Amino acid sequence: MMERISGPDVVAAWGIANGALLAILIGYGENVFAVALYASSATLIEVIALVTWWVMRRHPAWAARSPAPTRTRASALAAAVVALIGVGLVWDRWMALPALYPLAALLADRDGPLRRLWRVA
Amino acid sequence: MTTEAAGRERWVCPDSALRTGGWLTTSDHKRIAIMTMVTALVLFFGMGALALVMRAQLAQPDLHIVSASVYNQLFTIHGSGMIYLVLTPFAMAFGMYLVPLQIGAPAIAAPRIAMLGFWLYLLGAVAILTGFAVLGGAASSGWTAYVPLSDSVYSPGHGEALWIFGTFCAATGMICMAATILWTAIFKRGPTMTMLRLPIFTWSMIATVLMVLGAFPSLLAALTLLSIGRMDPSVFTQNVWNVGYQHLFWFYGHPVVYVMFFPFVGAVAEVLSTFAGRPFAGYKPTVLSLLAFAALSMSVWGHHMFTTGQASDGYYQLTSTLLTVPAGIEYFGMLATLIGARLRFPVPMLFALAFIPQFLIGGLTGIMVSTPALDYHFQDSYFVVAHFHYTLIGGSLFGFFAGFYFWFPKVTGAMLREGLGKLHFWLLVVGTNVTFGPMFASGILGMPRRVATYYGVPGLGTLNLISSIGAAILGMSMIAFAFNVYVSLAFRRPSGPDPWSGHTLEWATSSPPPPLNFTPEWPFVRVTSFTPLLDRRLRAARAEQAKIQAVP
Repeated sequence: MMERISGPDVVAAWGIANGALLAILIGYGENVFAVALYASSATLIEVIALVTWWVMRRHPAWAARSPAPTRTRASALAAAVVALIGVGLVWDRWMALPALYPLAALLADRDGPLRRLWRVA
Repeated sequence: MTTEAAGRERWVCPDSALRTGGWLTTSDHKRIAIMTMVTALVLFFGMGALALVMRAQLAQPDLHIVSASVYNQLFTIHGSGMIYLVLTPFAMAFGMYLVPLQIGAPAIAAPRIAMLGFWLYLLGAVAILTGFAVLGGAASSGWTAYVPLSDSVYSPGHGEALWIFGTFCAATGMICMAATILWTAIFKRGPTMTMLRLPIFTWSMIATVLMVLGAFPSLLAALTLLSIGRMDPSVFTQNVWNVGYQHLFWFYGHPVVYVMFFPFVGAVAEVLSTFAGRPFAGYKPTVLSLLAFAALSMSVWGHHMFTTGQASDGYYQLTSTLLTVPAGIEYFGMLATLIGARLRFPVPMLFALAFIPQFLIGGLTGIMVSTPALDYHFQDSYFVVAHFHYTLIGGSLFGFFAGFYFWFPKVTGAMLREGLGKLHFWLLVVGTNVTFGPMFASGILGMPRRVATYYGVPGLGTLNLISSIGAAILGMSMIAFAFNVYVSLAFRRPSGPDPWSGHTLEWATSSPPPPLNFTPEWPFVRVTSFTPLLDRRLRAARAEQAKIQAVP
């Protein structure tokens, strides 16, 4: 039994362990904010477990392959977008406008994930 | 190491990969990990330098080397830098490099996301440090950024806003890396590598990334709340958001401590078992205890809030004390691995052995400060500073260096110098204990943390002077470390693929490993347990013995 344990099983069990600790927390009468916070975290873990379990059952080959190119600009472009938005948030909003350039480049990137998704669709 | 192995120990990079662009646009998990590690190491030295300035200021009562305002910026950036930008990225870099190798995967899952994680982390570091260059200086409200210190009234400059943005980016980067590591461990294991054949280090990374995914979003929520509060300070006049911010922050703030040491517990376990020449004792109980430890760590955040009077003391004390059970199982596993073994003592083993008692001091004092009756006394004193530095330096950093010395030959193909390594080790042991040991006494005498100076309470001057001397020794140990890395890379002594007789799959491939980790020349080894290379050696030894016995 133990030998056949899968990755999603581990994630789900870990989420359930957190759920058990959450139940004890509720028993101690902790305030709603703290309970809701812990519950949302445990739920997030269970959602991850469900997604990985679903992928393992339905698309195991897809999950195991490595389709990314050896080099990719997409990550740097996405980070540049975030950086320029950050400048706009910290100083003035118009300063975020140049973010449109790396965003356009990201959308147009031949090896980028967005173009790949478009092709798949 | 054989001549043949020495000749094979380096793979030839394609021309494109040698260019800077080859690194900056890479999707190779090893390169992403190396870039993360190098960035974190540079920042580690920077944050350490800030600590030396603080210790110079505190060496004697009433010194004014820097102003109180600058001192506030120093401890804020030192604390947040070490946590958000150094130790957490160290942990993720270890996982990013080693998990695919240890499980027999050719690559990391979603390498673009992993690379985005690195870029966001770098962006976060730049944003936080840019605070020193803007009017009003860097953030100065501590790594916790409690209101009202961090609101727009008390922190009006751009430094605090940059800190919020930088911390948000760095945390998001770590979430990206954690997600790719978890996906890799679940879906990309090599043939015959079942979950219960994963090495201890990989299990420690699984527990770590589960905590990242479960807890780090709470920090993002806290930072968003802080940003809203800076636009509308009335938000924090309501108790629900005021204490709510603390809940959000500490729901991240406690598990992150475990994120910063779990991978190094795994590293220490690998080092101990390798140099004991036997599998780690109590594999399954240790794996279960790692997961239980991680789950419990998610439930103890309220013990940072005892003095608010708005946390269930009984629950958080219970769960905090329960942590000793899985911690004890891991400790017994380590000790059982060592007892009766024929030990070797190269530098990684020294760091691993020193981890055991020093981390114990950090852990046991943690139980003390998670007891409400004691916590009310120790709150915001130097006792707490001593406790978490024993956890993060006595524990995490020693575990990190154990792993660094252990896997450096795998990553670079060169051995670190043993003599310089031992100098680094002994200076670090002495420096750690001389710096942080007296802080327990300072705290008991009533010295509060986060003060730019102090006045003549008898004994405090001497204790602080000892701590400052210890900090200087720590600084010297880091110079020895940096010199060792430089010498070892500049004047290489080739390591060969497996200089330590390692137990796990990464030692089956070349040093450094080829782009897709395993090739026909360096094939994947059949896995029959969590120590596949040890199994292979034992099978070979048994076959050899049988051959000898068969000879009449």
